[in-house]
Amino acid sequence: MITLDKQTELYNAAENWKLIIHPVMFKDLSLKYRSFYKLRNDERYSEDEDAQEAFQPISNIFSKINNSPLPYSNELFEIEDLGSKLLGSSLQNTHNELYKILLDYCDFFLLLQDHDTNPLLTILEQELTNLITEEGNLSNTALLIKRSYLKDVLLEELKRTFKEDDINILTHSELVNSRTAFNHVFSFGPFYDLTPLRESRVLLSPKFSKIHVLSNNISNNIGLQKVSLLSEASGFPLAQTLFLPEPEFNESLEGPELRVPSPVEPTEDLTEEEVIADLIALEKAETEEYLINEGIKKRGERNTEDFLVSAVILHLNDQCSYLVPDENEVKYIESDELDASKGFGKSDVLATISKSKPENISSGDAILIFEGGEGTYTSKLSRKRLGNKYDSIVDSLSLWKDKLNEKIQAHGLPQVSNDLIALELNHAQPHNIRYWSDYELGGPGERQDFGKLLNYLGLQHKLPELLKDLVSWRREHQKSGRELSRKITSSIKSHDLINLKEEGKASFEMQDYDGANVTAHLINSCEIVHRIPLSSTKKLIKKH
Amino acid sequence: MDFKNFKFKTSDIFPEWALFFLELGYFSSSFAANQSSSKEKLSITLTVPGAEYASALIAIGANIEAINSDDLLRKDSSSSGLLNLNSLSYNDEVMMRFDRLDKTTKGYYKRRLKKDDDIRYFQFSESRKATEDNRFKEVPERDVSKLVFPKGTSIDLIDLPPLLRICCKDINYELMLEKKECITTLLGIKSHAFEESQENLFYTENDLLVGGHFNDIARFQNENKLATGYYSRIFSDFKGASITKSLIAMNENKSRILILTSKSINTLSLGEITGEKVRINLLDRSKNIISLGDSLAKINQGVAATGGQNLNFKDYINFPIPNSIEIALQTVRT
Repeated sequence: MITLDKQTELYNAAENWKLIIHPVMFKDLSLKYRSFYKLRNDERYSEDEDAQEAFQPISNIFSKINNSPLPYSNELFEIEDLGSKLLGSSLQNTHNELYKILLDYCDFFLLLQDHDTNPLLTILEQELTNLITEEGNLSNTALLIKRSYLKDVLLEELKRTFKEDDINILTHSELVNSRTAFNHVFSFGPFYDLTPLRESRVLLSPKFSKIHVLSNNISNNIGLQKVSLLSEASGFPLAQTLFLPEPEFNESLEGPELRVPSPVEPTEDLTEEEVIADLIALEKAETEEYLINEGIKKRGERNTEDFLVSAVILHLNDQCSYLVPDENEVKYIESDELDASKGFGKSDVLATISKSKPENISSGDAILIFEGGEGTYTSKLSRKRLGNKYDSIVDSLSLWKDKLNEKIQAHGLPQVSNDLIALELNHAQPHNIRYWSDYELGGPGERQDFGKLLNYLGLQHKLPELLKDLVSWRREHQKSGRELSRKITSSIKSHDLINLKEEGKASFEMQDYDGANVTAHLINSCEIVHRIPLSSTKKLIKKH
Repeated sequence: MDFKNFKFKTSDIFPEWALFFLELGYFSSSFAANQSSSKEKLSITLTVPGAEYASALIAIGANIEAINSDDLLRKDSSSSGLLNLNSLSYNDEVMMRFDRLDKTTKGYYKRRLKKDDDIRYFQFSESRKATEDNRFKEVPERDVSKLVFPKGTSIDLIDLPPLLRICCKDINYELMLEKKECITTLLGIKSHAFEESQENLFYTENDLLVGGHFNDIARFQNENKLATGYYSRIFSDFKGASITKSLIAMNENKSRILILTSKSINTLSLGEITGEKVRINLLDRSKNIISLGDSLAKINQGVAATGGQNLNFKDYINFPIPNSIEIALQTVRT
């Protein structure tokens, strides 16, 4: 719980904050940006998967340019790779006209890269220099970034100019969870990204006296009134609405003239709805590129034998990510529980562990990740409890799993899947077969499904005894799962969580269980991503 | 009630936002008292930049109103405190603070003294038996009501913080002791709002911590004569047993005001019969925005489903609202 003085400071900030817009009029960039929107939404291409896939790396670059005050030559923009990505695609053969248009974008980004200086960075450095003169240091200043992976590169860039100064770089979640208010916060990119229209809480719970928005092509009407939550639109017409400042517009900085040819596509202004839809699409593309860069997805990969799922990507506070299929439940500690832990001092109470689907997890919560995977430990617990009896159950399971693996080896997973579905084993999708073939895991849940599988494997005559062992295995694993949950719960005390919000990560050794660790990671942001190979999920991904 | 002289123990300034929550609590209690036979409840939706302390301050305001509107409690406003000095006899046990021990503990009345300054003193000892000189304390008569309390008085009550001392200064302590609900009320709020002890609104049940988001401002009736109960209870587990338990407790204690946070709004819908007369939906704008949106939609669904309506807050709220707070008032038919 924060102190009364701090709470008063945060209320003061919410009642007196100021919004200062630093517009950048970068005509060439703006034209190119709008023409790309029109092109991507052109009816010839909007339903064309190949075309949309080819747009993705360009969307990714536009998204980064929106939000990054880095020199355009920085490798984070991945401009160098764009040409090879286009060349590597089959676009040249299938969509020759589009291919040529996209090469123009490629040329444009190369020009941008040559120009190097990002006007957002020019303004930022000037403003930070002024603040150092006025306030002596930057301790009460923070830079707000949209993506956590920007943190290190931006810090590295700014250290060239501000060697001696500590610079606070925060994601949206970190700023909103901050327990103090900063004098100045600098945000980069479209104003909409700070508002509830883009699911941001930054302006709803302002942790600053002044927020500076450094943005390309920002107009005078920025729709600030839409920040309010209790409004006519939300069904509360008679509400008092919260304080919103009159924005102050600084003199705009002209971007460079790149002398690019005029775009072929029409480039009229986008409506507010179009701008927001575009920002969402660009961010989605940026996420896709991120997954490709991390090796989670392959470019152009559509039909692999691996089962594709929708998953929630949890961006963690320590530059890691964790993907969870949206149908799976995960264990986590709620943000409020972390806040409450402050009140416990040295008491030895157990922390409340929640379990839910990942879409219900919010930034500020902490996910619990079991190193080595829970499945392995449930097997070990079962073996520890049952001894030889468990080995005999596993031997029984191995009998049909050996046969299943032989089939997969001989015919491939997709064929086995098709064969079983033809035998009316409707759950026989590749990911389920992979699960059944794993020696540490179980089999089909229903008796008749298991019967169909044994029939396929030529073991139908052994159904009674094999089914009995499969049921025993399942019962023991459920028991072990509950025991494991108890062990996890009893290993995490509330007072252990006190510093988790500040440090972003905490490890817990499980009681009575050597070498097993549970790690709680603070969640920065979450987003749902689609078409993710199942085998890529539930792994901690470290950003290189 | 004029709250302007209120102070926190740690600060001379009582901020506008805190004053708002006190006023809102005061208003809610008054409104709830006048609605006892109505089939409508008032739904107040607030969005705030930070919700810490809010429910505690609302509870304090509500109880200041409840206590001040209770004629029984105000019957003898010149009450000299909890202790009847005239009936004190040798070795009577009291609760008091001994500086040597630096804590409030049991003491024993010994005798009255009159010193050179012409002031009457009451002498107390740490021990029932004869003991060393430094284990005695002499309290001037005028301070006895503030420093010495009857046997068994809760330490929480003795150590009331300044804010609550102010709101209790005209109240008859002795009658409050008889009326258990008021004392438990004050103790609960004190522990929550001012963090003066390790005790707070969290408690353990079957060795499991129960704590979280659901703040039920109830008149907690303690069957035990000792004032050890807590007024506010918080629940975080909205599944099964704990939510049922809280609903039973609300019913038993005739809860008049219920404060819900975003997550609990999604669990306890407005249309559900929960017994309170005023429901305060307290939405912290620093929390998950999707969840906030869901909560607002649920509130509107509840109002529409029960035939409720929007109210003009200006017809009800006549105290200043900080412009960091959004507020909307609606009625709900029960």
